[in-house]
Amino acid sequence: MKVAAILILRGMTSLAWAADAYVIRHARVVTVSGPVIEGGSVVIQDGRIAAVGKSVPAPRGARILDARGLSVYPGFLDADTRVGLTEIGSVSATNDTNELGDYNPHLLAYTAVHPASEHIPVARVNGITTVLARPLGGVMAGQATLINLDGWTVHEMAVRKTAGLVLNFPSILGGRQLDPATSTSRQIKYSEAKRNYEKGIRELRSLLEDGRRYLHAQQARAKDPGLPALEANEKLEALIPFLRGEEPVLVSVSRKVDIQNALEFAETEKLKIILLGAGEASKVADLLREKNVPVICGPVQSLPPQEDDPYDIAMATPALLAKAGVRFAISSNGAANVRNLPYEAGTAAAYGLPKEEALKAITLYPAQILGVADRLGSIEAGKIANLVVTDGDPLEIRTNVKHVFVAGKPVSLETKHTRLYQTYLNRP
Amino acid sequence: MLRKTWVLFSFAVATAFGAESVLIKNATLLTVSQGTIPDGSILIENGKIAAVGKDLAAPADARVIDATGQYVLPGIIDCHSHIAVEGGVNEGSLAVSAMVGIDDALNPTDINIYRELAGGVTTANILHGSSNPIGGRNAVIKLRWGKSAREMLFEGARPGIKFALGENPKRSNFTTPPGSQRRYPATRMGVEEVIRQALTEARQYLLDWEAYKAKQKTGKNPLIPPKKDLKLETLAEILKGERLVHSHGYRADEILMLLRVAKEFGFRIATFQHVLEGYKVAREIAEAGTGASTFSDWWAYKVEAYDATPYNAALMARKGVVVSINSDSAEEARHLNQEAAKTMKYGGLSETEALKLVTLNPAKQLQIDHRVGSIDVGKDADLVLYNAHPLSVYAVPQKVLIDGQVYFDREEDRQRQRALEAEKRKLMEAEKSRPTGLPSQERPTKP
Amino acid sequence: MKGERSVQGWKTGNQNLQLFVLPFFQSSHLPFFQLFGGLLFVLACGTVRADGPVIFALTNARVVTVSGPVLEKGTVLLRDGLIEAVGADVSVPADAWVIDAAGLTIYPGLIDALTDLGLPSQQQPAQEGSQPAGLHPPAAPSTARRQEKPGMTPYLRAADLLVDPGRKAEDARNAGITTVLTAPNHRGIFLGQSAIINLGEGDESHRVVRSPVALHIRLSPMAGSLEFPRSLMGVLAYVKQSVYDSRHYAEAWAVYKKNPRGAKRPETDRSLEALEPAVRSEMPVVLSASSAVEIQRAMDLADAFHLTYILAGGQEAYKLAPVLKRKQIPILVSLNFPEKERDSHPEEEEPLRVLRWRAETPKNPARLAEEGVPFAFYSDGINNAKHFVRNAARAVRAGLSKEAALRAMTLGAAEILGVDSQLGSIEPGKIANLVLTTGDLFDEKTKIRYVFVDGRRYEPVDVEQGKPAEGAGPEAGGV
Repeated sequence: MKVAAILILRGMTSLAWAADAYVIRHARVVTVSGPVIEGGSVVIQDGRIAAVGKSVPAPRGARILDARGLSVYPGFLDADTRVGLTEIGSVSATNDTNELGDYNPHLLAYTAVHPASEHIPVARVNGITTVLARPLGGVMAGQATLINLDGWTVHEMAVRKTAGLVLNFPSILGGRQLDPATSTSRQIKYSEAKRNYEKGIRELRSLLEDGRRYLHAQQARAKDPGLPALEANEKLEALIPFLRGEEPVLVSVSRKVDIQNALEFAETEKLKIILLGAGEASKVADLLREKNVPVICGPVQSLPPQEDDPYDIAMATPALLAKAGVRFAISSNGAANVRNLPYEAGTAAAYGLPKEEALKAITLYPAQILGVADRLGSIEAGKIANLVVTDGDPLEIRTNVKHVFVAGKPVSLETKHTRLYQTYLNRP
Repeated sequence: MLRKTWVLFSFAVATAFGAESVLIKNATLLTVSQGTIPDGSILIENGKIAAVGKDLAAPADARVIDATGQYVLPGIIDCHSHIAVEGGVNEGSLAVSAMVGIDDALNPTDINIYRELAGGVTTANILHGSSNPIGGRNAVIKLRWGKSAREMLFEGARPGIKFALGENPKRSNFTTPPGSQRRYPATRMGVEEVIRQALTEARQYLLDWEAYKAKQKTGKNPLIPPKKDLKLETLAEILKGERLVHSHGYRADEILMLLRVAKEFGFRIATFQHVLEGYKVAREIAEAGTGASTFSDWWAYKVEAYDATPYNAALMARKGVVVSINSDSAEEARHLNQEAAKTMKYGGLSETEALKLVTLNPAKQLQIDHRVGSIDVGKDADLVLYNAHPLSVYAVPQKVLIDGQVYFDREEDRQRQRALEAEKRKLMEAEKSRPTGLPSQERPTKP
Repeated sequence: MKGERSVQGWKTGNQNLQLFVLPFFQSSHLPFFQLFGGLLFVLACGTVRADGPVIFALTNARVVTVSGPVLEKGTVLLRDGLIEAVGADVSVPADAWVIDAAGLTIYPGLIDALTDLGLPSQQQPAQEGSQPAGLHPPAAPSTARRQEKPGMTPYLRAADLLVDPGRKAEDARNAGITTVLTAPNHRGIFLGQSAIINLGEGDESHRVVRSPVALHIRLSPMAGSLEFPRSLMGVLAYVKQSVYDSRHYAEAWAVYKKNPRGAKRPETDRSLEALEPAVRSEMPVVLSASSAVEIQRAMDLADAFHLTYILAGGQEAYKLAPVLKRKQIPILVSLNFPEKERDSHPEEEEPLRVLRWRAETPKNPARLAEEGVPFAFYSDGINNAKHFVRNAARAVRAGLSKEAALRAMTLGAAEILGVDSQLGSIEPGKIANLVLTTGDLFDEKTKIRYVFVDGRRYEPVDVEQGKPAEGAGPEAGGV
């Protein structure tokens, strides 16, 4: 163990240190945004990256981490998860992802994040330092939140309290419908699916128009206070930044024709959208590039959406998107196993994505897509000091994460799992 | 003429070699049983591994596969799978469904067979679902894509049966359909009771037959024999030690329960499946000579999976349990080599120990290790050729052989995909030019 | 109405009651036929039935005997419901009513080798993807006693359940179908025993040609079942256990009957009793099986128990043709060819598997014929009887010879169903079931002029004459 400053890594999760300054020395610094710096240093101060370089001066009182033989990466960002919103899948009491009702643009995932969730340290110890946590239910599920995976409160964790409105875009394909009485499913006929779809689109358009009228009246009253008072409406109020195109709508969609419909819808409604999942994105890659719509794809380790698809289509999708010039990121789309995000990227690399691109797909690209590249996604001075120190290629399973910094602080690598391991390893 | 046409339609994936000799050369051989052989060769004759080593001479007519830069691993064995089953993997109507068997419902045309093959899986233990304390009979298959159900069965594999403990058989996480009653059992107590009751019945069944046969020998009058009962016949085979029990279970307490029951009834549990709390009672599992087949890192999807840790496999292995890593999923099965790699990270297993988790160990658990699981002379030539070390995330299977025949080839897959798309377009065009039939309320939509 | 004498006067039946009824009572074949019933039939049916003495001489016809060579100009003599003579120089007896059939072709009456025609109605929406027959059948006809086990009604006999088939039988007959194998088709596994019935009018006891014919078993899960068996493997286990139970039942009773004194009496069970003939291989079982996998599965099951069996569905039988030929397993081939679901998204791509299924199914009969697998056609829920012949013609276009297609609807079917001494060809002594057409049966323009069932003449009336028939087109689909 060459790490001199190992003492700082025990039991100091989020402890407030008097002088929050650290220097990682002698490391291979993979900045992602720039060239790799062999034997470089990263200076961390007040939660931010203060300096990066071959030889940078250490601030007085800074703790030194000798990372000889180790590599430093920007912390990984998983742009589609349910971390903090769910604990045990089958226990509804622990799940806060699905609210009742179809249209809930005003609900905030931020509100329901459980900072003490066991999933947080589990994800973190494998280098995932930031996640987008999002709700699932209904058509407009609510607003996602972007959080760092360390903090006493969600307020401390939040990078962006709200990071997009989740829209489960209606499918025109219908799919199968389960009859609970007989536990058998039936294929929904196209005519019926089309009716449902058109109804869904009408409702959506009508809601968006309500929002626009609301905004219009609000603006008018701002100019002329003499106008009658506007009755406050939480739902419509919540829609405003999305109607203005200031904030992204995160459109969850998977089939090719549904992606096409969603793109058309977004264009007519002038929404700024990001696709989530989008299993068949590679089949409409040219359209996505043309419309400049980014995709948060994943999980990469998925079965093909269609029986006749190439067996490796999901693994090859990031490579296909990259080749077509589509902006993309890779996500785990998980909760309990967000820790496997690097292997999702690694798998994409195995099936054709250049390794550097695979790394970017879980660092800089999701930061760019989510509009936080000024703070996250690479090792650059001024960015939030979310860093991972490893003994090798982090996309490789056998590689070990040695240190993790979240918002400039080293975090404990202890989890529920390591505790159980230690306990039962010692069982006589 | 017509016949020839339709033969062409079916995918001829498996390439049969007329010569029946194959030489794989210049590869890194991960034998699993005897370490790594760099620049090694494998000679295959009649589907079996005939020789392993360096500079092997091959018959003149042998097909030579130059695997320079590639790694050869024994075919991956998935000890827990539900692919290729038609009409439901659960007979959930009864608490004991030992009368049913997966072999009756195998569907050799399930595309997941091909997909898993492309992930390096050559043998899979197809299990009944976990809705019953005692489920149905399993079927061990080789993924001989293109062959019939019967031809996929692993010849001579020991028969087995699925048991299940905990939340699934007590139906904790399932809603009861309207109009039906909740099925007994609803507690872990009840699960034990159902198993004991069934085994007791089976014991009585054996006694009844013995008594009948004895009486028949001495008596003059013909006797009415006991009723042949498929459920009890199957259970009796467990008691006689002829049928392997693969029991789904999570919590330490239920694992110990079943070990107690098995001991009392005089048989051994072959494997615990999932066994996510196995690390808590690894000593007891090892002492019972029972295997453990677990997930690499799945957890928290239900209460009994909340104490799961990715260290489970390594911890159990350290304590002397024969451990395998399984998929229980058509997707997960495609990267079991990567799942095995996780045990190096979580618990520090060696490369060979990790590789054994998806090759030799599941073979031992299924008692087919005399045939498969390692690269050894005399074993079946079930092999995977990777472009990188299979414990690397970047490894992609290039060729997969079963019984010495290439069943998957990544290059040929590209051609297969093109042919498929061309045929599809042709058929769609042909159909468009043919007037469609009449509207109907009854029309078969199979297959 | 070429060359016909004196039927004109009583074409509408009720106006000429006197004329109509009398010959009926004189017929020794219909002793129980009630005057009133006969009247009702005439009023209820759209067919204009020409009744009279049941001695007919059909002369100057092209006769497709099926069993022998085609007679380009021959006579078929019918008497008392049977074919008395057939040949080029049959002398017409004085008492025969002569129909000059010049320009017409006589075929044996067509046989629909599996249907539920004549059994209690079961109109239910289609059950997708699970029922090989494409039908979602209702519950079994209620019987006075409790039903012993789910899906277990092997004791039901189609012959005992017959109801007035009404329009359906008439439509089938108008399409040339004179005989059907009808089998219980409700929700279940051991469905019951089939009967062969002729589609003439009259009391059901006269329509039954043979009963019971076969035990019908559906090898797929009962939709929505909450009881055992719910899965396919459950169904297989259920069938196997039932065979064991039936064997045991027979043995137990045999032992008991030999020496009842001092022995406990076995229970009675009408289901197990009803299974006995099939289990002893004295009665064939008809097993549903469509895909190659299902066919193999059904064969494995039946072979394991040494059952005599027939497969129904058979859409992918061609894939197993060599083994089916070797074992001479008869196939009832569905003529309800699969069609594309029209109510689907235009861009929704179907798997190649489904496209192939649709493309290959009509070619299946040709392949079976080429290989020498015995097969017969059945309607399988076709909702327009005319499509029976029309879809057979589609199989002909896909390579099946016309002779083989005809055979699969006549003598071939009769052989499979064990009634080839009575039906299926135009030979002396056989039941006088005939179809007289204006031309080649498989020609789209051909009309059916007369149908004879049990020697009685029926004259199809095209109620939509002048209008193109529904679905008329070169490739009218199965349903």
